[in-house]
Amino acid sequence: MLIQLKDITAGYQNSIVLRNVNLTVNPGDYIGVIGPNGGGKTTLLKVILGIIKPQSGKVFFGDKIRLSKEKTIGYLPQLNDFDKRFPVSVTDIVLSGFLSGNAVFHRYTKQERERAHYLMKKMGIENIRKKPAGEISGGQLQRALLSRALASNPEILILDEPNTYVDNKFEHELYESLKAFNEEGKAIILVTHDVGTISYYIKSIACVNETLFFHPSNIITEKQLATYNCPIQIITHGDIPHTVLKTHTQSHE
Amino acid sequence: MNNPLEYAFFIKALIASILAGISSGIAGTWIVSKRKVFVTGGVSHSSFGGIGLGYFLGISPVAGAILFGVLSALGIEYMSYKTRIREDSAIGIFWSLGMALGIIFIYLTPGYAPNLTGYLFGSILIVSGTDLIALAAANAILLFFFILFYPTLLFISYDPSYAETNKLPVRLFNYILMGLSALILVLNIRIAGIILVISILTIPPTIVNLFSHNYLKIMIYSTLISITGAVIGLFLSYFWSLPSGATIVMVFIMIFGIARIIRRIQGSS
Repeated sequence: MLIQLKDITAGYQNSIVLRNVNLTVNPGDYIGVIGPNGGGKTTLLKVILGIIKPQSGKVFFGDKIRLSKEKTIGYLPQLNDFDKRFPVSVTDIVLSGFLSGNAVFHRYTKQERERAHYLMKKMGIENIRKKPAGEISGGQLQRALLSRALASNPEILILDEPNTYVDNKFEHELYESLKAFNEEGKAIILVTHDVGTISYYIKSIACVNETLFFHPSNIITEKQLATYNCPIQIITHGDIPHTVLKTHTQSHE
Repeated sequence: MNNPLEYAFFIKALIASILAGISSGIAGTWIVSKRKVFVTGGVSHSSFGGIGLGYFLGISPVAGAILFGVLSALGIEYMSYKTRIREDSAIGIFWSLGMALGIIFIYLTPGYAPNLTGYLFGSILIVSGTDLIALAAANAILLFFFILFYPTLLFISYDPSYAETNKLPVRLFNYILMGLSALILVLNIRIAGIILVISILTIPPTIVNLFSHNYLKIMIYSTLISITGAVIGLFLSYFWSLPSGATIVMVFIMIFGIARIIRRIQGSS
C-alpha cells in the first residue's frame, strides 16, 4: 500500500465537496479519476497531496512514502492557475522538482542537473531548455511540468488533466511514457474529463461526484456510470481504434 | 554653474541614486515579476499616514512611514490570502486609509509641516546620512535573503501552489519578501516621493524585461539601468534647476521609450 484514504470528508469553508471517500493506492496502480465538473476530482488530489486537510477521516501513507526523505509524490497541476510569463527558463522549471520543504537552502547538485537534462531530452524539450516559460507553447510547458513532476523519481505520479493544451502526437507519447513509468511498478492517478481516450492505458476507474465509486477495471458502461452517480459523457474517438470504449460484455449475456 | 561634485549634499544625492538603483534591481525585479506594482503603489501612498503621524507626534516622519508602509504591505498580503477580499480591493482600502489618516494628522498638527512636499514629490538633495545607511541596510538584507534562498524563492514566486504541495514555506516567504520590499520602497520615498517612488522601483525591471526573461539578468541589468538613469536625472535636475525626483522619472521613461523602439526594430528584422 502506498496511500490509503479512509472515510474522508473534505471541502471548503461552508461546503462539503467529498463525503466518506475511501481509496487505496498500491504500487503498479493506474487509476483514472473521472466525474463531473465540481464533483471533487481536484479536491481529492489536494487531500492526497496534503494541501487540504480533511474535515474527518484519515490519510495513511505506506512506509515507502512515509519513511523516504526524497519527494515521493510527483504532481502535474492543471495549467490554468499560474503566471506563465514569470521570468523562469524551462530548465528552472524542471529543476524546481527537486525542491521540497526540508531543503529551503537547496542548491542544485550535478546529479540533479544531469537528471533534469535527461528528462528534458526524453520529453523532447532539450532544444528549448534555455527558453523562458512565457515563450513556449502550452504543450511544451506541459512537458516541462511533467519533467518537473518526474524529477525526484517519485513512487506516485498524480496528474490533473494532463491532456489539455497538448496535440494528439504528444498526447500519445505522454501516455506511452506514463505506461513505461507504470510498468516500473510506480502508481499513477490521472484526472481526466475524457475517459474514452485513456481507457486503453488505465487499470481502474474512480468515479468522483461527492462520493467515490471504485471500479476495478478499465471498461465501464454508460449504465454503470449512471449507477455510480457519475453523470459524465463518454467521448469515443472512432478513428483511433484502441480508444473506443468496449461495451461491457456482461450486459449482453 | 559650479561643479556639483564639490558639494557634500550632491555627493550624498549621488550615493542615494546608486542605492535607489540597487533597490530597483532587487526589490523592483521581484515586484515587477510578481505583478505587485499596484501593491507598491498602495503601500507608498498608505505610508503618508505614517508621515502625518510622525509630524503629529513630533517624531521622525520616516519612522512613521516605515510602520505604515510595512504594515499595509503585510495587511494587503493577509487580506488576499485569508479573506474573500481581492487583492486590488485590499490595495484600494489601505491606499485611501493611509492618505486619509495622513491628511487628518497633518491638519491636527499645529503650525507648518516642514518638508511635506519633499515627502510627496521627493527631495534627493536633502537626504540624510541616516536615510542612506537605512536604505543600504535594507537592500543588504533583501540581497542576502535572495542569495541564501535563490532557487526556492524563484520556485515559490513562479508557481506558489505547486511549491505549497512540496511543503515549502510559501506564505512565510511571501510575507518576508513583501515586508522587505515595502521597507525598501518607503526608504526610497525620500528620493522620489510618495507619488513617484513606484516608477523608480519598477520602470528599470520593466525595461530589462523587454529583452530578457532571465530573473538573475533582470536583477543585474535593472540595477545598472536604474543607477545610470538616476545619476543622469540627478545631473540634469542640477544643471536645469528641475525637481530631482520628477527629472529622474522622466529619464527612466525616456529610456523605456528608446528600449521599446529598439525592441520593435529587433522584432521586425
